[in-house]
Amino acid sequence: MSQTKPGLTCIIDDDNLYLKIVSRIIESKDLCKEIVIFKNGKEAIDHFSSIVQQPEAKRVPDVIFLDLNMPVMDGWEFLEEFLKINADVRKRITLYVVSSSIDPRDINRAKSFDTVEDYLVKPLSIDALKKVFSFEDE
Amino acid sequence: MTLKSTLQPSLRLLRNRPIWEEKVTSVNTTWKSLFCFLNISCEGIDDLPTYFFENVIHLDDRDHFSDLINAFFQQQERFTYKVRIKRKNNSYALFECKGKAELVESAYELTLRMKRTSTSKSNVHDPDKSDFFYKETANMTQTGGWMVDAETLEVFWDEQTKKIYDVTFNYRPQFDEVIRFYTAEHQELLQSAFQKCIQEGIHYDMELQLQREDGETTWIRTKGKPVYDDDHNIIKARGIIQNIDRQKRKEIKLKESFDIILKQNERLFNFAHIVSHNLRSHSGNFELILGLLNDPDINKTDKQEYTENLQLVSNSLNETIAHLNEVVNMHDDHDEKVAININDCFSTIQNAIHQIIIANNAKIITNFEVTHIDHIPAYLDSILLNLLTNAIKYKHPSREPEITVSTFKENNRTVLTISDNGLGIDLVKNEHKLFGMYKTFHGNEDARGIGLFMTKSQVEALNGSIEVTSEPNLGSTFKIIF
Repeated sequence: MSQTKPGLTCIIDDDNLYLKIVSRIIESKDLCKEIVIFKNGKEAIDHFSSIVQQPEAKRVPDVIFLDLNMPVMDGWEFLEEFLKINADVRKRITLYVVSSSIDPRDINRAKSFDTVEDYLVKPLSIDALKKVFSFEDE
Repeated sequence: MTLKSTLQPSLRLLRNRPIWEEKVTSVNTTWKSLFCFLNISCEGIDDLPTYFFENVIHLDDRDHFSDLINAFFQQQERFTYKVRIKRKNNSYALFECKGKAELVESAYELTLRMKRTSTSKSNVHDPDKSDFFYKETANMTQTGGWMVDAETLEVFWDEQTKKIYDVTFNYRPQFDEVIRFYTAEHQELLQSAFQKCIQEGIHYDMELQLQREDGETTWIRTKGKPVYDDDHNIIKARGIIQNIDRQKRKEIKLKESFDIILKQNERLFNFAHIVSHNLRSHSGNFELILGLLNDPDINKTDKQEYTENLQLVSNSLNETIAHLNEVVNMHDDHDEKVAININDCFSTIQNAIHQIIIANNAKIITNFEVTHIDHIPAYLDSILLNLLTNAIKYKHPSREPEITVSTFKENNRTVLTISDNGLGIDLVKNEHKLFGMYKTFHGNEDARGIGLFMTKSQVEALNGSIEVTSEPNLGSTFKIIF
């Protein structure tokens, strides 16, 4: 594989089992260097807000997998908040919305955000994950 | 009898007074005499009656008058009728025509008489008739009229208006008292509309509620318009008032059931969405794990772990299905309603969660002004249990929970409120999600996101409603209207 492996992947989801399995796949297939997990949008946005203040973009993720249905702050609210701080980030972040919802309204709404690279329907297959990571940085 | 001798007196009369009167000796001579009186030449006319009905009398009067004349000549039926007769200049003049029949020596003596009259054609405009129509219309539509003099503020109500206001027919309305017939909230509305009408000439058309002394209310519609004099000054306001109580109540009821259906529809839609979403997330996890298990390079420990994970997915799938069953089994059988003693019911619940109350040092204050609530016991238990445990579960970290449970009457309906001093909910952000299925707000591990959804469904199943007011960090109040 000629592409560089992405450094940091961030998964925002409240489904423990899903988190466990997806991290496991990413690790076992060695798709990225590091994974960081947030249980809802609020935890993630708090983290991002604090790191964008720092000059080095080291801890800024390359890829984000965002669930929609979550407690405290759901995926939509996260996207709104993320727009506000994204401008301060000089690094390119590829964000995927990952949800079990197949409602076309959800899909279209997610795709209406410029920051959203694509809408992936759960379950994420191993192939889909490979694809996401292999085209990164191309 | 010659024509001349009979005509002479009539013509003389005609000159002085426009009256023609003649004893009928033969039908033909009578017609000739009438033509002469009306100053129509008989020359060249063979059939005088036909000519008369076709050319002399007004078209609208023809048929009826023809019947009367025939009945008079043939059956000696007397009549009085006003007819329009064509004059030389093609205009019509009104004549009163009278046919008299007198029994003289066992035979009828007929006299016809025609008199020029200037009064309006009252057999067309019958005052009794129009009064009848007016009264019947007013009665049937329950509509009355009213009038207020701009200067003296004297009030006139017609009979129907008095009926609507539920006062006796000899009641004399006083301007200052009229407003008191209305409910407190509508008094001001009417007053300002009336002032604008009588001062600025603005029309109004409103639906308001009358309130009797015993509290009974009636919906009415009232319209008001100004009346101007020649100099364009407003001299009166007048209008109509209609009893629309039956229609209005039906309309309100229809609106209510429409709202309920709308809500239920929304709930069904969300439910379908949730079912699809949640079942999909379990099936997705199954698929992921099975994909890993099918990997030919899998080692034994991984295999063991994935199999355990399958068990976990299966467990959560079962849990989801159990929740769905609860929702599906929800019914709205009003027959199962019983009067529940709220004090007993609440004590039972407090005993059931005694441990939680003690562990959290929760203080619970009850104030049951209404002692009984008509509901399905299992639902009321569930509603109270859920709201009470929520109030304790989401307590504020820096203070001990204090929960007040009250019942009272509001607008004739029983209301139950549960107020806490807990975390509160940001309603600006979360109001639309609060009662949704699988929505949780505080990130608590044991939050299932099913409680408030069930509570709302159980309240709504019996046509109740639930509202919430909340301030983050101060607390929440849930209000159930039964």
